[in-house]
Amino acid sequence: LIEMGGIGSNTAVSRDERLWPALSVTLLLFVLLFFLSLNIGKVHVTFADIIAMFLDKMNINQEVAANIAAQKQIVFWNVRLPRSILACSVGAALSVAGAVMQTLYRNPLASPDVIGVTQAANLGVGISIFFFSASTMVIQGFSFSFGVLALLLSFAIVSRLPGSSVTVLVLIGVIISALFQAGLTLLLYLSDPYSDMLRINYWLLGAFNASNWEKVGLVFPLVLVGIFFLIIFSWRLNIMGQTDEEIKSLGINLPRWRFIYVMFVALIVSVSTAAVGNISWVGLIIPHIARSIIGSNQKQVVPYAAVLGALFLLLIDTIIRNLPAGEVPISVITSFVAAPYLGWLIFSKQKRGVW
Amino acid sequence: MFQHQMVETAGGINAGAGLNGHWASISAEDIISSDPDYIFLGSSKGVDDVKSVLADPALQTVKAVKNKEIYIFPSSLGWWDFPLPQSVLGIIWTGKTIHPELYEDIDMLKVADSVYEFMFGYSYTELGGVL
Repeated sequence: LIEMGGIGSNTAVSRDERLWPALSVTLLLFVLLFFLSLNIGKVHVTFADIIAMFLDKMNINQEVAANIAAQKQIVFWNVRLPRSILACSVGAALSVAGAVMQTLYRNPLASPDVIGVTQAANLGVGISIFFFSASTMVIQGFSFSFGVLALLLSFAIVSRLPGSSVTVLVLIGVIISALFQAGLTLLLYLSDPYSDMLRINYWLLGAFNASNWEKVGLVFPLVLVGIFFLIIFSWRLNIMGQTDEEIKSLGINLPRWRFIYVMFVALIVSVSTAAVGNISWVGLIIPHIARSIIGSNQKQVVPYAAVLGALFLLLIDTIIRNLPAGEVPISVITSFVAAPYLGWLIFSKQKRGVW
Repeated sequence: MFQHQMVETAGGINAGAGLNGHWASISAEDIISSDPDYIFLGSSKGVDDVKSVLADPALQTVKAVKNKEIYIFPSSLGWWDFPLPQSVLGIIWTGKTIHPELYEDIDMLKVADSVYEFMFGYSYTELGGVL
């Protein structure tokens, strides 16, 4: 009998066997969807066109792409490809961040937006534009520093409350979010409505429709590095899920390890937030779905959540991109999908007494 | 949407007429596929400017970009593309921009002067307005 999403280690062996089938199916779906996302849209680009353009770019065969209209080439290279790459990067980043945070906080409700990291990253954007510079690099730097600040702040509070429950964590998240949100509101109130305020709002409302290679160039490598190291360090996360005393009794340098995870989580969340704005629920829900499919060995959950998150956000972005009457903000759709799922999850776990 | 009515009153066809909502969010692909002859940017400072639109690699096949037909509403004194009384000037200016041959006889500054004189008691130039 397999208890879905449970923490019991006695079923770990059978779950090891579940990773590879699940991972290969998800990867296959992901690759299919990626090509489909490049294929469908308002400008008609066929699969043959896509292959021809790739061959052309790689200098293998330049004749096949010669008779493809310039319009299609531009839509493909400058609109769809960067947008799809950005959607995958952000989806993977938020999901991995959520998976790691849920273990670090030993709490199923931990996620970047619940803890307040996204709100802090937003305030970083505001402070950068208001006091310093509106250049992309400076904005990203501030966004990252504030993300780290929020995570360290929440750890400082949580570690002073031994045995803190789900409710306490959510309350701390509310406090931290409110503080940073208030700071941002104050900045928007003080800033010039004709220039700085517009710039700040433009950044915060950022969405995938503003994707370009500049954003991809900044987000993709940083997210890749962050996820790479979090996957490398994911073996230790299984122990990080124990109580502080248990971890220390194993001779593990707890503050150092926690700091490593926090830095990488803050890095990937804040670059994502600064590039595309707030995307709610992804970081909370994807790790839960991942665990319900492959079990709770963190070594497997982290890489699987990355692929599943990329797939999920790419799917949603492809849908909203093709709505006939203009785009709906992406968080509307992620919330509509994820909030009912979380409700069902709580209901079913509550009934079996897991939470 | 008010700006839609402005464009249509000035004798244009709004490429974004089918969009829902007040301020709709679209991707570059929508602009590329509707391929407009003219693009009018909102007169909010600091976010968009003609130069960055002309330089956007994604928009290079769009007719308005190829022919450099990107415009921002001119007034330095209050916006002409917002739901304000002055927006009648915005409509006239739009008409003159997209149908220059039909509105050759209109001197924008003179019209602006008389409209401001009528509405506020001071002419546009007296108030320090620049086109």
